[in-house]
Amino acid sequence: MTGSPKNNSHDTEPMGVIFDIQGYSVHDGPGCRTVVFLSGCPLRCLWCANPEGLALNPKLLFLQTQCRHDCRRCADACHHNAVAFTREGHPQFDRSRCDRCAAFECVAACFNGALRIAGKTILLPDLMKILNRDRNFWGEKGGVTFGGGEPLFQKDFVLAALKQCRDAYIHTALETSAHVEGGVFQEALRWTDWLFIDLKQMDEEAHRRATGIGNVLILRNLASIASLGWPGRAIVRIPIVPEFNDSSENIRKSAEFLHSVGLHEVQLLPFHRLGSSKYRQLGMAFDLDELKPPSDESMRVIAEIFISKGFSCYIDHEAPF
Amino acid sequence: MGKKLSQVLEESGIPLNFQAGGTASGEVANREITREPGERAKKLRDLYFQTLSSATNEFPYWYTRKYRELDNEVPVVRRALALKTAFSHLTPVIYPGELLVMGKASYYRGSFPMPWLSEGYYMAREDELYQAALARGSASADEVSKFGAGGGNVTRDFGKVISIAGKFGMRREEVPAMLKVAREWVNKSVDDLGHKYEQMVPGYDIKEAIMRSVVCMFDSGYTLPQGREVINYYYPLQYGFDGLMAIAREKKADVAGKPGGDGMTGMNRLYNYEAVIHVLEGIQAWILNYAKEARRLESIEENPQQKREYGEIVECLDWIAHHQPRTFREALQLSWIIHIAVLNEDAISGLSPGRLGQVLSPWFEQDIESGGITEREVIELLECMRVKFTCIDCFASMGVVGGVLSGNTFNNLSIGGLTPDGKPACNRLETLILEASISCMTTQPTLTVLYDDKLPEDFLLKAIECVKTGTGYPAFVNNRVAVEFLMNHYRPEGMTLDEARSFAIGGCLETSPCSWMPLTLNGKKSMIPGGSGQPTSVGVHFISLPKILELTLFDGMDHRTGIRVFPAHEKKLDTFEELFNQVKAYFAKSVEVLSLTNNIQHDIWRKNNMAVFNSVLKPDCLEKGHLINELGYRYNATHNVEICAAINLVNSLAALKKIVYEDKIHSLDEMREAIRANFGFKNASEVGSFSLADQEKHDKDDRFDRIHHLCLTAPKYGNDDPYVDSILREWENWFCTMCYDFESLNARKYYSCQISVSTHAPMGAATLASPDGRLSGTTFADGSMSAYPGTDRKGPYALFTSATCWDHSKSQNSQMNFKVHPTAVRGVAGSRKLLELTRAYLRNGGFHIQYNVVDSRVLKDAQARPDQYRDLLVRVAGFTQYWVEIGKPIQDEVIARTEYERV
Repeated sequence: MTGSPKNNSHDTEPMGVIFDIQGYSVHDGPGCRTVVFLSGCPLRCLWCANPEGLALNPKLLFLQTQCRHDCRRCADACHHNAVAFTREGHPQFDRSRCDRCAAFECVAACFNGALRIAGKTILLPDLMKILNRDRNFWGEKGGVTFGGGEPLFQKDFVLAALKQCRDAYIHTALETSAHVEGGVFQEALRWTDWLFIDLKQMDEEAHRRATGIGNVLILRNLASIASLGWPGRAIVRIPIVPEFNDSSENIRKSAEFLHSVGLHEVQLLPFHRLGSSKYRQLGMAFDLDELKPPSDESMRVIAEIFISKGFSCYIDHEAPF
Repeated sequence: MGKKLSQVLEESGIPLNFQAGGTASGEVANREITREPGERAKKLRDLYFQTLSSATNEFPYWYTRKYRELDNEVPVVRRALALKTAFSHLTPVIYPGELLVMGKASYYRGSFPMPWLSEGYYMAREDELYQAALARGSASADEVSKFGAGGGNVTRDFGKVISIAGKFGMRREEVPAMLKVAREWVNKSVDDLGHKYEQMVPGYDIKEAIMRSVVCMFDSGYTLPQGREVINYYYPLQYGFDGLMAIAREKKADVAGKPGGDGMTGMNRLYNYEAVIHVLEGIQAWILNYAKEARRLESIEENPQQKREYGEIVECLDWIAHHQPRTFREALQLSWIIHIAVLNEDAISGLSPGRLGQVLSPWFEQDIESGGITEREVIELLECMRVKFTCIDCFASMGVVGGVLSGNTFNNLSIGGLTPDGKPACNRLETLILEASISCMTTQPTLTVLYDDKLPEDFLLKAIECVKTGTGYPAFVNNRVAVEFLMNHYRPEGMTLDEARSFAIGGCLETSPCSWMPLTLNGKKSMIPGGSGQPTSVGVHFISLPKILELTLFDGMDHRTGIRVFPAHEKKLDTFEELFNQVKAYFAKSVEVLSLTNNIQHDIWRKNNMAVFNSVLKPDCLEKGHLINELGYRYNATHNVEICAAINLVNSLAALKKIVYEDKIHSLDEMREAIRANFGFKNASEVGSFSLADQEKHDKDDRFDRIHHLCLTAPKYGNDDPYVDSILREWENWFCTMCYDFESLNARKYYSCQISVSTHAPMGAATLASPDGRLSGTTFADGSMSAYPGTDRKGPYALFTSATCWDHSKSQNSQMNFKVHPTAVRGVAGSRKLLELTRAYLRNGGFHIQYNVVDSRVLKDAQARPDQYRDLLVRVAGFTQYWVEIGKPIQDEVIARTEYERV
């Protein structure tokens, strides 16, 4: 697993890679917030809605509808010989070559905005400058939320950012898959006021099939929270993905586990397909294009299971914060 | 067929339907708050939905007839007697179920032309009078303006109804009478007479070219000479009409024959008081005619409840025609009558009730305490009031009513604010006003919260709840910024801090000077606020800034019409500074000629068409014996310079600076060529949409792709980018100050006014492509602080930072329209967060913010199936309007506005 990218030698400030910053975010913690989306994730969840944030390196997005198909300016500009054309004249990008590119001359060469980059480096002071601007607009309860990707994939940068926020009296929230080494997780928690932590599937094999990794580390980190005496608020987020984790057995097991580790606040996020166009732009396949989102009714049934066991359970954006 | 830009941009790095914070949910989201009015108001509102804007001739006929009789009478008395005759001859019509009665004219949505102001614009297009108006430029805005064809607008003839001025229906058999009366005023109306004298201004040819090329949207003096002001209900509410007439008679005796130290106008006081008495008598007769009609209806009504209600109306009207109202209902009824009396006296849009909840609170408190009324009954009355206000139509030209106002009449009711001693001024009645505005959603009156940090949370959250209905009201304005503006601007006329706190919003967004007046009700004294200044958006109306830039680039020539507007500047524009300075020079020239010609128009207006009733309502006309024309008002420094589309100008300047002057990628000539070729796109009217997103390219024309790309990706306002924000700041600092160099007819300084109303559509329609990448004929950015749709890509906090890069208290107003997706404000938490957002913008120095809580997909569906959306309300720019009554260019712009939401 990798940390943050190397800093330039002349620059000692921590540097991170982000693929978006969003102000006036109202569903990612208390109050009005700014969400920083960090690139890089150890998981490969089939339903991921932010595929442009999976890798740490900047990703080229190609917008087919925007392309004029006959100018070939992108190919002319490319130094890696990564652009070929179909018989109809559509450009095709050799993604393995694009991933080795840093300059992306093709983007500047395109007049039609058919190419853009997700992921850019940012120095911590520059990020703090944005947060210090935004804090004038958050109101009393707001703050920053680090999401992604998996924010702790860039642990050095995010830990440094969390600490600086604490020093600056900025409320912090962290959205994590919890697939991170225990020491890092606990260190991050020290500097975090509010936690969104995912629980996807109790069965290890099923977890591995749908996310690429097992759930041992995740369950261990979830279990550790109560013992830390951490004063913050932890919300367990469960994406509800039909056929993957919506069985009553898995829900019941999840509830039992969470109860046993002292976590009693759950937010259910119904699967959606809004990220599918981004897969196309990245030249990736989205395997769940045919999968239907769960019905409101089935969401209510699942929520009822948690509520009956004494949990606070919110569906999607009905959360009271 | 050429590609649509939106198609192309849908998934692109520069999406036009961009949603900051992520994509909206897949399902179309409905608004969260929906409530129904009570049975009575619902019936009355349904009646409104089914009725059409209808014009009558009674008022102009009787006015004209009397006026002609009184040849050579003292002008103010002649005017007053004509008004009195007209008022006392209006046919009273009372509709079943009404609690509040009386209307502008006999129809439910009735209004009438005032040919003494202007008569050419409502003639048939073939008529020589209309053609004459077109030739001098005063109808040019009509040609580029559009009404929505739905709702109550009569945009086409049908059956025995003739469409007049693009919006109003008139019975066919009445049209000859209308024309006959109109022809009486040829060469006598303010329009015609003003035109005669304005031509004497040096540089008049520039003014005419400015109007014909739609650099400026409309003239001031004869279109809507009053309005955008706060009415004052105080005097009739305090003294009753009998009391007022008694005071006027005493005053008359005091001043008869005495100049009182003023050799110019002192003697006029006698005639002024005489005029006031005549007009008050006319209004009294008008009220009593309604009482008589109610008595007749009572006598023939068989339903006992309706019979009783007619009886109550008789009692109410009989009393308030003479005396101070005794109850809340009487006070509300009288306020309504005062309101429409002023609207019948002159062509007015934007006559704001001001802080009506604070004006009527003494009666409300008294009645609630005595058990004379319940809160339920108060809400019912307030719902009826909303329907009444919504029925108000303003008869003016299509360019004005359609192009500028979108048919809206801007009766803005302010709530909140501070008391003279700095305490929160909101009260229980204002909360009920909010309740009635939630249950009875209509366009009028629109609401504005005078936001101060001291206002209590429950009140503010109730206001937010109202926003979530999707009506777009209330807007929020910054109390502190407004008070600072007033203190600075009206200091020479004696404005104090206490008095500044009485302000309210006139029209859609005009900070208006007001005063506290001492009301006595049954021995109990209270200070109530009301307007004490002249109309606040008159003077130089809506100068199109992108058009000024276009003319700068093309050396004063308007290529759309082929007219030379300004003398050639003959500069090479070698540097950005030279360019910017030339923009300023052409702008200043426009303000100069428009201020001079409009001063003349207003002067002609005030000589023979002065407000008598509206004047006597305002401090200190009754005390001084001078009306509006002799500066009887307490505050007279109310003339302004309005601009449109500052953001398109600023973005265009930034693009030129970057592409032409700094990076030197393209020459200015190449830019000119690209603009004239519309970057290779078709014209908006050809495409049938006025949104940038829908524009289509000519096939195979890629000559301008590169330059258009550079224009679109140049720095844009709204992203906290100092490159462009610094240009905005420079513009604002210059513009807000340069207005002071011009003198209004009141010998006071002009000031700056920054609202677009609906002018951004017709003005966009008359403007070529601009260097910010906007295409020819498409609608400009709305408001003055809203970003151009789709260009604010760093979210609301960056937008707010850009917007507050200059001091808003230097201007009468600024305007931020903000579209929020319903899911972003859902639930109690969503309400609180919307309040936080509002507070944040205002605390950081923003003056105004208002919200459209709507899913764009609902709007697109409504555009396709208007019959399914008769009651859909949206916020445009300082006002709320029924979707179906808005012209397509503005509909397109509302859909295209960036929608903020995060899923």
